[in-house]
Amino acid sequence: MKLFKNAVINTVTSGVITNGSILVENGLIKDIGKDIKCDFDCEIIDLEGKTIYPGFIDGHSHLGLNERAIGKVGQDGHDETFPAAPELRAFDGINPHDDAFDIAIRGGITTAIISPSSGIGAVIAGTMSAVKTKGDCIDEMIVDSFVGMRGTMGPSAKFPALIMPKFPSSRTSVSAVIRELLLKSKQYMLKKEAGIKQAYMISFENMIPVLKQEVPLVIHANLKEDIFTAIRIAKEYNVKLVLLFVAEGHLVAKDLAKEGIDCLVGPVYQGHTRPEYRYHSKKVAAELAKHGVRISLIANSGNGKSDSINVQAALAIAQGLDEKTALKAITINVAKIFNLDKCVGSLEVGKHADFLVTEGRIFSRDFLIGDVYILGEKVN
Amino acid sequence: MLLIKNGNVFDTKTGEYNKLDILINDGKIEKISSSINEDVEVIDALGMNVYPGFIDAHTHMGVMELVIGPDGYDNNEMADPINPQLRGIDCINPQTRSYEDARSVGVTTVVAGPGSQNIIGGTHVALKTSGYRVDDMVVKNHVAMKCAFGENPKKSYGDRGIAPNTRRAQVAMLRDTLYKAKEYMKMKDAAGDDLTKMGPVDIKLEALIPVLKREMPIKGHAHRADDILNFLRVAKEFNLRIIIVHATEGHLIADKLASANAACILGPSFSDGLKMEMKNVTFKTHKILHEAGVKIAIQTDAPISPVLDLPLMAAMAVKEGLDEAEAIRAITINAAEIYGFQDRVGSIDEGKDADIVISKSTPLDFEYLAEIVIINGRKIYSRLGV
Repeated sequence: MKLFKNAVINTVTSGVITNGSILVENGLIKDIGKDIKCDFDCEIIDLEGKTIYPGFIDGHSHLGLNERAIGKVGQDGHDETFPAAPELRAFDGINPHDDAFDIAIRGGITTAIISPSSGIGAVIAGTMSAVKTKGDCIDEMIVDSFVGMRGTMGPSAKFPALIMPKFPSSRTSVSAVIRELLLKSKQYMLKKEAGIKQAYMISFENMIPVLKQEVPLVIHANLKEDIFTAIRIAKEYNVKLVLLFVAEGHLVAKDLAKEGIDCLVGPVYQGHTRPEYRYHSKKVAAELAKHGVRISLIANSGNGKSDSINVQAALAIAQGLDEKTALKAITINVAKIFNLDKCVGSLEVGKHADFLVTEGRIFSRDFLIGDVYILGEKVN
Repeated sequence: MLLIKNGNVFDTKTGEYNKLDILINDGKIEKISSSINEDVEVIDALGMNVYPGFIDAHTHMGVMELVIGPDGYDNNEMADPINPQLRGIDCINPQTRSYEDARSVGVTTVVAGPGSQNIIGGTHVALKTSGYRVDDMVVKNHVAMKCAFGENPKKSYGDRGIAPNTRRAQVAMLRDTLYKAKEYMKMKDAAGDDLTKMGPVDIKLEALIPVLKREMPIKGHAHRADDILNFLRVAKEFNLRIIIVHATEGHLIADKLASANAACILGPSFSDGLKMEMKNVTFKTHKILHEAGVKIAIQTDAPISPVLDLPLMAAMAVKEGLDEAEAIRAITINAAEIYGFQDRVGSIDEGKDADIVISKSTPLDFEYLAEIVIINGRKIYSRLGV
């Protein structure tokens, strides 16, 4: 057992505890509050009045999947050989020794949603996994191996029709790839439930949790047309949709609020490299939150921005996002979107002891992340 | 509420102008009468003509967004010539320039969807030209299944050594797909729509069922008479409801089109013959087909030619002899009837959507300008500023 005492604890979900303590046993928070007693053999760590936050969660990253600084041989996030590949699993391609993990930890990320990446020809790219950012063996780092099914819509997903005519080469075809997969999987699921004998299909098996709304379908959609098409398809098959990047989200914030769609927004500093980003604005997060959309601010770590999640939030705050929402957007909101809120996202009894010991005001330039703990162990 | 008073209202049935007042409430035409007096906003249309909003019966508006390069080109899948499962609605950006142009010239409804590089391209959708979310603009979705004959599918695949390389192959592949769809439909009907009681689902064949059941027309891109006749032959074999788009050589086979009850959506007929299959293009086709008893509508194929020119294309048809009232019908009620959304738009009648154009001249005059354009009862364009 460990007792971390003498800290200002921002629990995110139940206020700030001054002069507080956290008691940790077997990696979990056993108790939290003021005046916590512990056994005589308990290790006591005095935090000298520093501030504790729950570890940040990056709602979308490619850590270890698109490895840092080793070129093509380390890129396992994008596979354009199958337009619909729900059978590909994120955790089968993650290298825990990719040094982007250390950078992410420096930035306060203790849990990352690791996802296949967007790219032409990969419309349904595979499963997303929630992973702790420290470890030697991916199987031991997994919080939940299947938290979402990742897809891409819009120009990013299609082959350029006139230059590289390969299916799918139009946005209508991209939609058709998703619809076809959903339709076939639905038939597979219904037959399975009816006890009808059929060949085992690993791809359709992975779509069953999507059809049952146990995990969301997470779709990269930037242009408002693609956002609306994603909503249209999700309604046709009654699946839970989460939108990713949403560069034009500020233009349709009211619609997204009305539809109750969660959004993974960011990165706030985004290269305006192609037409998908022509109306991108730093205001997206603030506008969505203002209209009542639940947002998560992503660092897209593993893609050159691994230590920036706090900066992402700060930039969104500069555009009018309130600080409380910004903090939720990198902690509890992400946990809720991916059904991880029983174990991470806030500092509460029973949850993982993942936290950051910090100095300086959060979201300011002076904010310093010192010791980082995952499951009660110091990882940096 | 909005009241348009004293205008000369065009009647699509009689082709005459009558001095009438139009009361608009909740986006619909509530009442038409020789004198209505209500304490609501009034547009005085004294001395002006009042038309139902114009309809461009065939476009790729918002599907092709050419100014942004390959990212904005969604007109055609280019890797597979059989695509009934594609839906035009999935890629339409109503903030492209064409939609703004359409409103400014009085085009209030357009039919938009996939192009003609494929044997089967996917479904078209009828949309209002005002809005930012395509789902909220729909007049009717899946108004037609697009297919194509002739040069386009031949060139885009044949040039790469892929079928269809010939006109014969085009027809064979279409026929083959329709046969498969028919078998699939039978299997599905026998299963009573229960997915567990049928063989593997097929999203392509699934999409063709409404065509085989005559619930959705099939719209064939065909310029040359022989391509049109190929289409008529296949349609007859499968008993399909058909629409012919372009029908550039329709005037050579007017009697065949009339007896096949094939509606024709003509245009764009300004052409300097860039395509071989358009060699015989003429604005005379319109008159000849109409007089042979074929129902015609006029289209711009926007953005292939600008939607701004829709009234001008009707005017050119009149210059070549088409009856004036019929030319206006060809950009209003005929287009709606061909696709089957005439209950919503296409004429000024009580109960229909309040889509209205007010202008000093007729749209058939070269000096035509829209003064006020109304969509769903809202003034969305005024030449002198709203």
